[in-house]
Amino acid sequence: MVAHTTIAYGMLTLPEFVATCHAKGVPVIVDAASEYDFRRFIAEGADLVVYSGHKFLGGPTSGIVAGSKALVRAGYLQNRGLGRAMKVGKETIAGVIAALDAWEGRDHAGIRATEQAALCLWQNALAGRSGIEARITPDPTNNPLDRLEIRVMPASGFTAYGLTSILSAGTPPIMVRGHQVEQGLFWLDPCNLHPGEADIVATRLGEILDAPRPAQAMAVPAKSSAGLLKWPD
Amino acid sequence: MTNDIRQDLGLRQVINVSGTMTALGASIVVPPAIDAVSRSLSQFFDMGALHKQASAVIADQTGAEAGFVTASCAAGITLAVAGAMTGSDLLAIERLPDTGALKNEVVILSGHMIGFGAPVEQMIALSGAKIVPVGQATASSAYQLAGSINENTAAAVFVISHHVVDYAQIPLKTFIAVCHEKGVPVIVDAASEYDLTSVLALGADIVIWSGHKFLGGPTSGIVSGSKDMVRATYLQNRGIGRGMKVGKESIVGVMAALTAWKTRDHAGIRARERAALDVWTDALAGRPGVTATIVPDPTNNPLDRMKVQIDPQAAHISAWDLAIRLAAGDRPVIVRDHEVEHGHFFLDPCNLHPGEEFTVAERLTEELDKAALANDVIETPLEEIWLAREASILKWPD
Repeated sequence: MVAHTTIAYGMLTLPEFVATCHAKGVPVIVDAASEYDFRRFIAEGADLVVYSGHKFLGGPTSGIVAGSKALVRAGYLQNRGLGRAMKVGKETIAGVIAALDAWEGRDHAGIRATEQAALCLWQNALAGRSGIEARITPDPTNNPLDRLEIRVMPASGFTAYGLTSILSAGTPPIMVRGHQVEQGLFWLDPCNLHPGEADIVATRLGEILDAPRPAQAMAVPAKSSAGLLKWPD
Repeated sequence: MTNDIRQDLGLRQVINVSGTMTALGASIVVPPAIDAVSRSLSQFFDMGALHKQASAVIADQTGAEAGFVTASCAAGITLAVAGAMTGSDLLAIERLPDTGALKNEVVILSGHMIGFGAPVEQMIALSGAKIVPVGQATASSAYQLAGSINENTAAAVFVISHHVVDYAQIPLKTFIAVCHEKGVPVIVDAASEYDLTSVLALGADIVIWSGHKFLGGPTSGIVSGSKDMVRATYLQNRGIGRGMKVGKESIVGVMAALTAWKTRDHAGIRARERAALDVWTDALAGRPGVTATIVPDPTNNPLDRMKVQIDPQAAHISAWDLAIRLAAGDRPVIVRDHEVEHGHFFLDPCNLHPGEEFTVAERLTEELDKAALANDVIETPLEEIWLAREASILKWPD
């Protein structure tokens, strides 16, 4: 499995993993849901690689399975069994084909430049704020994508959780990458913005940090599923 | 047809007189759903909030308390059964298909254990539940249902489909009464049923439809029912339902299709379908060995089809050879042939684009004319066709 949520140290590398499995005749399936590199895992010996069609690729909601003909066939044939419940329709298949075709001609350099401009804008908006450190960090699984890591210290008058909660509760709601928020940091990811939205994020950050600290500024994360259990109310 | 993506992809332009079949791309999606899908794709949503909106639309259209959209009707069955076992126990949801100490038996009539492209009982078993067949394929009785329910019974599944054994089965009303008497919730698979309210009104706890059949939505399954049971079904998205999730595009598409269903011109559609049936009646009239009759839908949907009965000796061709020839070539006409060994197939008029009914008539005429001129009766042994089809499955993707 390749993901920002896996343990990032002390693990076998993929080539080592593949070599060990293949020595015992066991096929290797790589979950590369959010990886940009379509060739690396097959080249490193994986028998099957699975990608999301609806992440970086920008296709409709889907999964893409690639690999040896025999194993992919066996995967496809599951549509006669348990795969039936997970089937996709014509619209999704055609959408994935088009997204894969478009990937070949995508202006990756232009997209990165736009993303870098957003990162610089946000870094400038946060520069000189007491208790806030912002630095541009690479993607942890080596995708060609940088993010802005924002460390929130008590001197700012906020916790990371407090600041992100205010961002998400505002208008428009701004949802950050907050999976490590209890460690006092979050990220701003520039890869899903419509034109102009980077400015909105910068403006909101400035407004919130300029204003007096609201009651929930120092809030700490509370894990609760109470809201879920009331769904759909 | 211009701008036909099938041409771009090098695929044949299939004419569907088979029905709203998954294997053919289900249905013609209605314009409001196409519009909603396309407007959603470049936007971000609070998906939890979107699911709540969908719940309200489904509730409004079905009379249920709540609703949920998933990948397919099959997924709806799996997740509704899962929800009946776990309720809102989030840890139990993550542990499926290990059912641990949960009630895990699901009763289903033997005559309902059908294949719809996959086995319906496998959709139940996917949740971790254990199947308890009731009665025999050819008959089921209330005492067999009552006697199959015990303290471990989590749910009962009832299937409405043209595939089920259509005689000597417990009627739905009795099925619900027996299950409810024993405190067992009833989940109804109504994949291809037009009526969005009557099964719930009969007392079913959960009813599931395909979003992409008669409704003309994107590929999806629609779950409706009591709030507690629909919630338990929805929460499976945190577990086994994740592999069956739908995206924003499918949810907004289903909402639009449900809303459009309210104002659909049903009488106009039936009139167009009738006109197609009349074209085919005329085309087949007086042909030796061909008997064309208009028959109602077997599960009482407001839809007639043409049953084409073929006498091979008089027509010079068997029903299945005719079906195969119609499906060949660059204007493939796919007929409804699930009973073809009885010497008949059906023509379903509900998925035609304007003018396609004439192409169907032309192709029928062409193939029947050719057969009439043949020296011998064209009658390939059916078992050879079936074995060849089985063999070809394993050659994919070649």
